Amino acid sequence: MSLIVTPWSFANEVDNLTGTPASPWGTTVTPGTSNADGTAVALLTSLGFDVHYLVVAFQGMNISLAAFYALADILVDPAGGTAWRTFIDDLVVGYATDGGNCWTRYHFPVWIKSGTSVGCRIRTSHTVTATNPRVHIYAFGNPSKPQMWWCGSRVETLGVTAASSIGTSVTPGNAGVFGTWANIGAVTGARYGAIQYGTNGTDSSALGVQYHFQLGYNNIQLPGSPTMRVSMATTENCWTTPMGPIWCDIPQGEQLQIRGTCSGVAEAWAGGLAIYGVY
Amino acid sequence: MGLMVEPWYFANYVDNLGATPSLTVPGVNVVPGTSNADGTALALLPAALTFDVHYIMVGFAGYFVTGSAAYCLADILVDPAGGTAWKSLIDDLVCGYTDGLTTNIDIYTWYHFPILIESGTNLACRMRTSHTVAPSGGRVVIYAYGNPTRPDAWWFGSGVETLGITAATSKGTSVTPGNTGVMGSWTTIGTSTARYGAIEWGPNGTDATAATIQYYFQLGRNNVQIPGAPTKSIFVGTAESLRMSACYGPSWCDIPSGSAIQVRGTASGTAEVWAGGFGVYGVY
Repeated sequence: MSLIVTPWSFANEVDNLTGTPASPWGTTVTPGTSNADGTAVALLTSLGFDVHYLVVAFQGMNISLAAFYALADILVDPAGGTAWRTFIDDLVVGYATDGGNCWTRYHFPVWIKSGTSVGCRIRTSHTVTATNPRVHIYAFGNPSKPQMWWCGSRVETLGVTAASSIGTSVTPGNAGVFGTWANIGAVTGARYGAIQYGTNGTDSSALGVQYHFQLGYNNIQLPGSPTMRVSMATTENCWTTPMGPIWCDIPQGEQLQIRGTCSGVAEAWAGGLAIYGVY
Repeated sequence: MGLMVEPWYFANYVDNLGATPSLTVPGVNVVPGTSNADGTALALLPAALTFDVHYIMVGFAGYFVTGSAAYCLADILVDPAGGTAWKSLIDDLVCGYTDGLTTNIDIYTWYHFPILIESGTNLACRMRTSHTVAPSGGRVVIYAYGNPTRPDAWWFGSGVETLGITAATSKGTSVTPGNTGVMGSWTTIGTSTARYGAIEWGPNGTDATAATIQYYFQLGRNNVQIPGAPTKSIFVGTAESLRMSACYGPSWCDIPSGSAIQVRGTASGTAEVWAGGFGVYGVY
């Protein structure tokens, strides 16, 4: 029992769900084509409080019959302007569906100083950009009991090749049998207190099948990390069941892994998967 | 900054996604009883818990009937002895109108409860709908996490209080949003009788001829939005189904006993009355 632990709450929250509801909602961020960065777009301007938890979500990063691999950078300008510098590199967001109000979500307990502006820029491997790419953001700040909310100050990206806008290829097993663990990137460069992972699509003739992915190390599933459910459509778009923040205590120097299984015959995830460690 | 705080993690985890991935049948098919009568309880996990649970996520999909107002309520049940002598742990989660699992449609209605459930307990769900015909494709998915390595870093409660529900009609408390980006007035859903450390809330649909329209809803107290419970974006389709945006983990709060908890909303155009209503769930 923990009832001797008193409740706490975030004192502040801001998002880009403002004004008149729309479908889809969020901010349009147009990917640059052929692996070149697109134009940076502000998501939140000059934060009015210190942020300790950031949720970013992506939709509409897909084109039918195309391998639309895509990477998104979360940018900051501590001065509150648009002199952007990278804060979180290369979130894999390719194939994020433009239908059904599904979103590819990332949850980062990370600190961003009051007054900072937060932006985003995206690149795709494809030669044509998506028609309705959207980014959605929530920022929470000032937990009333800071000792109850672990948060880091940086995010390390593992397994991405920015020059081709892809993560690390993983081939899931077939029909409920997990494939072998695939190493994702180099070993961890810091001790992580939270972790996220994401997917970037298969190929330009995707099968309409479902996948389960797991995050691991030493060939076992990382404790406390849930199985991620991902569905792929024949129109080269996918959607993922949200998982929320994943707390962890991963030492520096650890080789992290991902494995998966499929509802039928799996395709190789050529767009790859990637891991993001908060430290 | 939080770097002086040591990292932690849940040592244990279990779900009911099933071994083989599936678009349409993750979790279990809990069939609601019709005409506001409870249906048959169905176990959520294949076996009793093998560890103390300190956090559950429960998701609902497919509890809608096209052309009908199929309001639905779900009870989360437990048997601490690991059998099927069920008693209610969480009452009357609103889950009507939740869209069905198909291409581009995932599980949108999620509830997050940081709550203790002892090892050895069996978990189940039973549902009811106001409609005379039960939705046919409903699915209930659960994730359960246990044993945080730093118990001092994870607040959890031992009970959940349900506010705003009329079980006899399978409804929550009706809310009328404002039109075209203008927030409607705050509607009181109920009053807390305990100190809450986390809070959840959900919608239960409009009517049998739902307009295709987008909504934002907010949870409040004293006519002010609760900071840790951000705006939900909800799309209602013409099939009398809805899809909800927000998923960011538990909504932590410190709400005293005796607080009136409110909901308000706005629409992309002319709002409909949410006759199926809203329910609020406080963890204490």
